[in-house]
Amino acid sequence: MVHFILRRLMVMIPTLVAISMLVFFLIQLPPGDAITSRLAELHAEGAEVSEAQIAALRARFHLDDPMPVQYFRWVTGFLRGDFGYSIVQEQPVNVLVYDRLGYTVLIAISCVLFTWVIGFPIGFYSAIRQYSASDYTFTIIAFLGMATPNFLLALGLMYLGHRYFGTTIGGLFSPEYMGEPFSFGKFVDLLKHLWIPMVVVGMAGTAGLVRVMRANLLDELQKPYVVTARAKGVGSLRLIFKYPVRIAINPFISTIGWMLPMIFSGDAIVGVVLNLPTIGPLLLSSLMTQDMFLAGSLIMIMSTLTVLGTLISDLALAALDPRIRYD
Amino acid sequence: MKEENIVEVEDLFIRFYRDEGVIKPLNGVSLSIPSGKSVGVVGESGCGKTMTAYALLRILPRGGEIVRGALRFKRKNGETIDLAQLDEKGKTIRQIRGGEIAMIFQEPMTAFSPVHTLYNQISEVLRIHSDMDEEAIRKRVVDLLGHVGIPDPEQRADAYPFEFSGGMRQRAMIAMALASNPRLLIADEPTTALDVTVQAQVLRLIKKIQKEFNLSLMLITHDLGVIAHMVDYVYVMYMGEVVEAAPVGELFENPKHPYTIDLLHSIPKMTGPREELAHIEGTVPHSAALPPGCMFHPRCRKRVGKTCWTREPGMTDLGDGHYVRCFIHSPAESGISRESEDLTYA
Repeated sequence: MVHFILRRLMVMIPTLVAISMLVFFLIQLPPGDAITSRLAELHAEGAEVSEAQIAALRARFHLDDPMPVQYFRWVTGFLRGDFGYSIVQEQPVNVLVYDRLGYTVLIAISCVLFTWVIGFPIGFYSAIRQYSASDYTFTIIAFLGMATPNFLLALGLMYLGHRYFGTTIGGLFSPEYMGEPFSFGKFVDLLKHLWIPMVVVGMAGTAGLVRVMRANLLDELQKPYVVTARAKGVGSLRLIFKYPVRIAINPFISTIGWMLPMIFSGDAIVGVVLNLPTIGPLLLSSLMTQDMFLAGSLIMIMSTLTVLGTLISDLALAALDPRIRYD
Repeated sequence: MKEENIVEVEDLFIRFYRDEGVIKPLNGVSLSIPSGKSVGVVGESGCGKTMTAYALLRILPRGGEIVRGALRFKRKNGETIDLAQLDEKGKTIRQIRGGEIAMIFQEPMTAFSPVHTLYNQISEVLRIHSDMDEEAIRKRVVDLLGHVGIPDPEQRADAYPFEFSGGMRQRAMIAMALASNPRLLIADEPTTALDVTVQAQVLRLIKKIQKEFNLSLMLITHDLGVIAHMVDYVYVMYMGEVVEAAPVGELFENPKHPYTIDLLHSIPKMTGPREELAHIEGTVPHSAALPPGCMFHPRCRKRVGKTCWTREPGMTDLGDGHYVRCFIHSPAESGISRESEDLTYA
């Protein structure tokens, strides 16, 4: 097993090198660059920018160096923990990410918990009470949940939150707590705001989980080993948890690692609609302004997390299912 | 209930009420299993063999109901109870399942959970049905595995089902069934999924443990060759009814029901001139739409006339424990027209 993990980690190196080249190449593809967008911005503000200033900016970010040199400078920065500099926001990428990482992870993890706490029990219940009135009810709700675009749900909930609970629209804090040091009052205020992104981002996932859990469990419930266990005299609830549920959750475990990049970035569209201080909207704006180092580095971090997450999934599945061996 | 019997099934009807209609897998099955003897139940797929076994354990698939009949069973403590009257989720039936009636299944591959060790699954029987401590359970499981012929049982007990061959898995299944000293063993097509070379070994093992543990055996199979060597008495089933019952020798030498005769003809012969393999015309009708009259009449080559599709034949006693359900062997007046239509045709 140790051998397997080491080998997988080794294989990650060429994978990530290939991804980094592709990312760098793709970011360079559209015409223009970050300086062009920056200039457009400055012009819009009515500022006069001289040729010399532009040249200075270009020189500062080495934009006129040959492509391979630029790539090499960018990539070797990673090894020193330096993810480059955002040209548009005029801050190091590290600082931008660091500022948003905490809330991004907080929102993402509360979404995952929301999804699991609601999704698993309902899926389980729907399966063991297949075709009952409650199964049909949950099915209808689940399909509605899957079919509703989450930005629409976000707008709806923001309206309700404002109308009936008096919460300010968007963001994670009320204006009076903005920039305040953390206190109990601020924490309560955070909880008041957190539920909206939690429900919005979690809704589709929860609905999907209900359907998948129901289907997986129904498949397992009619397997011969369930009949065997019944014939042994195992009590029905204990039986369902020990055998079919145990096997029905394998597909979830095998995708658990894919949540890593999602936890890192959060949902971009919902982040924009709800004005959340997360990384998703940061990525979106960096792509729109061609902020190459910011966009490239964010995508690179997410790719690394995806590769790492896949390894974690594989290991988790091996731990759970004895039929899987990585020797 | 007769003194010598451990199980008496009487006039058992099972119905599944589904959206697409009522499925009728059992239509008045009666059979009995004497203590310490082995009884075979033969018939094509879908004739209700397995449903009869599931009914005994009260583990019918979802939606299945016993709508009429009795399932008398003599318990270890000598008490006779009607299993059909028990609560399917109650304590009594759970004590009987695995504790007094054990079952082994057709597919040893899928009948074990793939993600639990053999030890985990076999010891579960003892955890439910005995108050042994962990050490005693361990010893008993290892002994059982050794007894059914699994080499190196101490180590192999902790292996997973997929690490065994089909034959070895079926041996482990037998060990699991024996764990809590049941009185009745139901073997549902125990060798159908196995290689021919392994089939004989597993059958010998079942026969051996039946003698050793003084078990009553109900052997369910579609394979008449298996029946011949394994059991004392045979029930032939067709569409949820017993159509013929006889001691095993009598059945092979002197079959009476046209269905039994056709079944025996369809066994391939290894000797004699090559000829086309006999088969039974037509297919088994769907058990949602039972044919009127004798269930077998649409496929029968010896129909005697209108009686066959207007009246239902009853069981005729031919003497010496040989019974047959056919108008050839009984006067037409003996036929039954079922009084409760809802149970037979809908």
